[in-house]
Amino acid sequence: MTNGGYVLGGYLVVFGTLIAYAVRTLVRGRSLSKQVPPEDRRWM
Amino acid sequence: MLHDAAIMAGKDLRLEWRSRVTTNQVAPFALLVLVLFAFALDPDRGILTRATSGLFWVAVLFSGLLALQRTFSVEAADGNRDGLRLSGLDPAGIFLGKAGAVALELLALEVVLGIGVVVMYGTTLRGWLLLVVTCLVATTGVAAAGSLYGVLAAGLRVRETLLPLLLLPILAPVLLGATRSFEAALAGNPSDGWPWVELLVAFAAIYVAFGVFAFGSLLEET
Amino acid sequence: MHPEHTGSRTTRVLGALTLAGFAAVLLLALVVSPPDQVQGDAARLIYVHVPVAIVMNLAFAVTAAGSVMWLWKKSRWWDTAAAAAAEVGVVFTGLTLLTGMIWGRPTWGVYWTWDARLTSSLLLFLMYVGYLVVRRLPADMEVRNRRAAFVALLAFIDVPIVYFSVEWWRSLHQTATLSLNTTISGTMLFTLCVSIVVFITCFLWLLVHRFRVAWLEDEAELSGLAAAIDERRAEAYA
Repeated sequence: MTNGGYVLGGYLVVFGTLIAYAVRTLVRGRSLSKQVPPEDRRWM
Repeated sequence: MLHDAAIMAGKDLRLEWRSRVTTNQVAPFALLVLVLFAFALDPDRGILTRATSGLFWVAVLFSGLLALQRTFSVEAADGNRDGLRLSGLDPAGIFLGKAGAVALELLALEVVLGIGVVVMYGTTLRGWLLLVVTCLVATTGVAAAGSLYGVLAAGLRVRETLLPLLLLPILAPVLLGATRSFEAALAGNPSDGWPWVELLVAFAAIYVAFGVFAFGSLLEET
Repeated sequence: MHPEHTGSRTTRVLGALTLAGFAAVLLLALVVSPPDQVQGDAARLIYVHVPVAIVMNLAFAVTAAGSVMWLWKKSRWWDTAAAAAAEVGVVFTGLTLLTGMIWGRPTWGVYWTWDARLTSSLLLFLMYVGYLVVRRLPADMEVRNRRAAFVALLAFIDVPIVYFSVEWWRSLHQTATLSLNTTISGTMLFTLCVSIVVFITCFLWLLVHRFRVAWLEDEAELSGLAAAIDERRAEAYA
């Protein structure tokens, strides 16, 4: 693949960032859910 | 509304006249910025003359930040903000007055900076009409947008770092437009500059309108 | 529904679609679609760069809409959506800038050009950061939301002006615009469209989770306040 380094690098950056952000958000969600009493977890 | 604006502007300008912060601190700072550019850019290679437009307006923006910080820190002290709200002055008038006073201070600074670039950078000023109109319109935009963010940041402990972060990206088009317009004037092609003035007018109109309608709500925060 | 996490049936569906979608995108983008005649394989970066840019703008629009709804109707739901979209948006803006640079290097030889899209994306990134900073300032929720909403709207009306002025500025220098002078073949267009849809799905999944996190943060703060008030009252009767 021409410029393979750039292509792979680009895809790694994108998916790596999204996965890392997703994990961070899910973890925050879990830890907050434990803190907040069940009645207040309604979010609509 | 305009009457209240005049009261507000009068108060700010009188305060400024008595304290002389703009003359004693902001103007020297503006000249200092020009000096720093000269150190950074080697005066002997003609760069300063070619880059005058950009350097001038960057100096205006930095000085403008100081002037805005000053004008709103005055309001943050001693519960002045509540006093303003309760004073019965029309908030739109307060906005126009504050922005107007800042604009006048900035225009004075621009005169000083103009002399500075002529003397220190060897620039020849021409295209006077375009230069003056650009200054008026760009300064209006800077003062209006700056006052909106200024009131938002006023009274916050982080205001000195927050105001530049919020304001400068917004002012990018003003810097672009004013610089291009100045370049056209100084190069002797004012017809290239007038379209940029239209952009500056649009910017100023939008932010003045926004301020007239929204300043009251922004002033309400405790 | 009181799970100890921010998931739900909606997020499971969105999440599954996102994962399957990404698998499809990777296959299409890296294997199935042909290399470009002019750019070679570097063109494959378009399949990520364009979608993240679209999501960046979509997120920004959500933040703007949410800010309007807060100022107009005091809708807490919309304000929370605005805040969540801003954080997700800043991630996608960063990705837009990074992929733009990674694509630009092999294609045009430079990491950065001051063209309208890249430059306004950079300014948008800075405006997002300002919004997020303002949201984090300690204040009553009403005050915080209102400040942030104004910051969002002031930024929103400025972005088109920025874009237009930069484009005009650069056109004066007749620099090559970063438009693609290649014809997009059927497979490439199809891959691009699929990728756009998948990235939007991913955005929605992230948005829902981030929304719930933001809601929980506010609830935690409110219940913390309530607890403190109750304590004080208890002290008064002790």
